[in-house]
Amino acid sequence: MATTSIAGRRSQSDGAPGQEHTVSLDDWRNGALAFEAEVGKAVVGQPHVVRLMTIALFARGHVLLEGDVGVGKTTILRAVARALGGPFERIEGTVDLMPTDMLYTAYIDEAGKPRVDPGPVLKHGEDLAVFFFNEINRARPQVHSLLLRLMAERSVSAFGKDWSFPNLVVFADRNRVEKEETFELPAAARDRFLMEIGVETPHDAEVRRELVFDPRFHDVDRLVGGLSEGVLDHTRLGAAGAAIQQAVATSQTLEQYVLGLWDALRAPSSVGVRIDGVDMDRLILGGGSPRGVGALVRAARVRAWLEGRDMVLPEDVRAVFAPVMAHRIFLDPIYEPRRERILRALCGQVFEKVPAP
Amino acid sequence: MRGRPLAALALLAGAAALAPDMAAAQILHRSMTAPRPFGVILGDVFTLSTRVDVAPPFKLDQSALPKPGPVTYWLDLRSIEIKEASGPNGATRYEIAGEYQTFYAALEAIEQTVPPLKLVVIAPDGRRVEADGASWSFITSPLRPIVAKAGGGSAYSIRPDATPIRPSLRRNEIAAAAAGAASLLALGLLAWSRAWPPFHKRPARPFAVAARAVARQARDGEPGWRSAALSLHRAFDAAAGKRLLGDDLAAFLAARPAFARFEPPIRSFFEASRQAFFGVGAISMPPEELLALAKNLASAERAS
Repeated sequence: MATTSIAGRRSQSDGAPGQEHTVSLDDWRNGALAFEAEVGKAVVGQPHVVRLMTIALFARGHVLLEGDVGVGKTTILRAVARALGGPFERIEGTVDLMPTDMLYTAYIDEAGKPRVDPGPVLKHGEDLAVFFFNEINRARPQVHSLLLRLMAERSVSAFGKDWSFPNLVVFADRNRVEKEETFELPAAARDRFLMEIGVETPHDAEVRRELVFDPRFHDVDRLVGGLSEGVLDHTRLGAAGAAIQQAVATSQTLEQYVLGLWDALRAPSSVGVRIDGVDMDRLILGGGSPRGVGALVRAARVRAWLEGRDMVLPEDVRAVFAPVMAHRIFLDPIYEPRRERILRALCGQVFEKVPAP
Repeated sequence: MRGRPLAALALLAGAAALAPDMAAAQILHRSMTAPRPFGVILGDVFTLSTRVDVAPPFKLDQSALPKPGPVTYWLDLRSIEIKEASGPNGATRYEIAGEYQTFYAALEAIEQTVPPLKLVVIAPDGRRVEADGASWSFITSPLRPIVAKAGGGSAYSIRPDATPIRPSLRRNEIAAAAAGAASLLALGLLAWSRAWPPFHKRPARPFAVAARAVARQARDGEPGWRSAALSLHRAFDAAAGKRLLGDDLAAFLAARPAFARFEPPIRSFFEASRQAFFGVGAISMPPEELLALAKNLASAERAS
């Protein structure tokens, strides 16, 4: 068994964890908190969603928002995009959307000649910061396939060349009520999303009253337009994310803990997880990919940094576990209809059963 | 005479004491009937009947007869009854029945004599003739217990003791059993409510176990401190019913107020544990404090 943590060995080979980042990381943290505060002006009652979005930004991951109709998914994404700054583009998923519609815009110009201009993805060039895919499950698998490459490699091929988007973050949302004329995201595409965040109607009565009666929330354009733009420098987010990953340590105990969580997710009955009405031995078809667990650690590091620590605690892992891992778990088809309830119980019980430290 | 058939014996009393010349002329006949003259014991009642035939014109002077009352120190005359009838040859026949009771306490069988009646007859012209009635002697016996005959069977032998009556106690037994059962039930309920044995199986006491483990391990250098901290973590897990992380402490202390007064050391323990297990590995809590915390938690757990 390794006697030092992976993080420790890595920092030994890299030299000391970048001391030059320390000051700037503190500034970045202040920036991140300011960013959260700015988004919070438009998004009330969803602080944990905003926190997870911030974590995803600094972990350089794409986010899929899921929730009922009208709970504010689009507003959250627009607010985040606005506060983040940088070029922002959106596209609505429809059943007849073709992959090329994302890359090209074809039209007849004033001279009556057909013209093909760069589409939504390419319009802003390689500086695109946020690409927002609305109602992603209405688009067909061909589109998902292109999106897959865009998310995974941050690059596409168009106009005879490769385009690279180093600062790109893809936000998508999906309503979970409607199942007609929708296409379930393929497992590979879902795995590319760092987080799948469930957005619920706020429970707090005061917040709900404010949402319904305050006219500020009735005009989303003005609400989002009122936010300061570019609280964070989107071009340096990648570097900041990398610095965070370097600076926040994971101890050997934590590494074992995460592996324990992973094992528990793959074989829940081995740690004594019991869910009513579920045969635990046949529940799980796939319990999280290595990429998924890597994303979990990445997100946990960012969360620890946001909390002002230089070490990852089990609490950090717990805070990001369900959003990062739940959509990467594949259940036996007979349990899929009850997926949400089962996964909530599973994630909860895994943390109740796996000892920490 | 108690229980005995009267043996009427007619005694023809002699008139030796009477004047032969006069009394014979007026008192024609005297006789006395008495019971058997033996076997008389203290307290026996017997009747002496005297028949006197008196020639007319003489009459028996009844006032000369003795009145009921003590006759001697041992003999009472209980009553005296006189019947007058006509006798043969124009005579008047008197039947005098005297009922006596003897109180003679004989020490041995002895003969006793009842004094004779004084019979006085008078004529209308004032002539008067006296005569004595018959005296009666009898053998009086001391009171002696009846000696049981060998072989038994006597009507007078002592009978065996009567079998004692044994009334049924079933009702009382049932009532006592019911009361006993109710008492046991009440005792059981009380024991259950107060957690006396055998209901003393309280929820497991993880901190008591942890305190022993910590006492064993804590001073054993850094590895010992780490395993002691792990023991304490497992106790927190068991007490919380799940894996307890540092961020959950507030909820845990709210749910288990018995531990709330140790909040500062608990928090510093979790902070030290974070540093030791997830941080740089430095141990910031001395083993003594760890030990004291484990003991305090164990005693708080006992009290809760």
